[in-house]
Amino acid sequence: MKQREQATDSDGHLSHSSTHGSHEVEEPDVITVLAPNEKLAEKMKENGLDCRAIDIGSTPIESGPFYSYNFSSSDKLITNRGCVRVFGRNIDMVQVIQRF
Amino acid sequence: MSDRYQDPNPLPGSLQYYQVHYIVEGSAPDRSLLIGRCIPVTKGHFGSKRVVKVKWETSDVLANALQSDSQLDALLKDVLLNEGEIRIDPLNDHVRIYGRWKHDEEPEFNPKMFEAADRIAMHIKEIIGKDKK
Repeated sequence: MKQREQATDSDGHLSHSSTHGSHEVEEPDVITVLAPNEKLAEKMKENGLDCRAIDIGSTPIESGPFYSYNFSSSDKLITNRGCVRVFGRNIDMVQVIQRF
Repeated sequence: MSDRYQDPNPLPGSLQYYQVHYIVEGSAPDRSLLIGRCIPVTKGHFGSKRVVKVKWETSDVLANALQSDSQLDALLKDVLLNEGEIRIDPLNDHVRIYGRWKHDEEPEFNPKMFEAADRIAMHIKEIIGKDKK
């Protein structure tokens, strides 16, 4: 019978284990809620990129318009969900946008 | 560690559609040099659908640089099936490169899209550098 166990986080953020036969499910003690830009930064770091999530609203890029509106189908009801600063690449910054 | 837990306090009214913008700082005095989009020419349907050609709609200067980059062309053939279209959108002090909106619980990171955007950014920086001189 298949058994699954997932409690490997060193910080103790999440621990989840279940035994298929006995239907035991342990709820995690602590769930760390990350902002979208922090989640993206983690994924980028997993892919070997040197980057760092920065505080929302800390760069002038986040306050300006996100599109030039030269393309007719650019969205208007959007919100900024944070930026990630990238080091050592041609791209300087990555921004996460969410739709309303 | 599973990071697929939903935010218990989502912003009211926001939809689970995310777009990732790759930003290059700096701008050319003539912004029309940098605006553009990349459209895939596809063949086949459903599972057998593939990108056979990449078409750029942009200024001559940027189009020449992008079309001559064979590494970028190979990356875009992989990426465009998922992204649909890539746009280069210059603003006052930076240039944005982005694909389509993605419907998901959290923003998706595509390493191939990042590499393609990074190569586009390289050509943009070359043009910005030339234009400043």
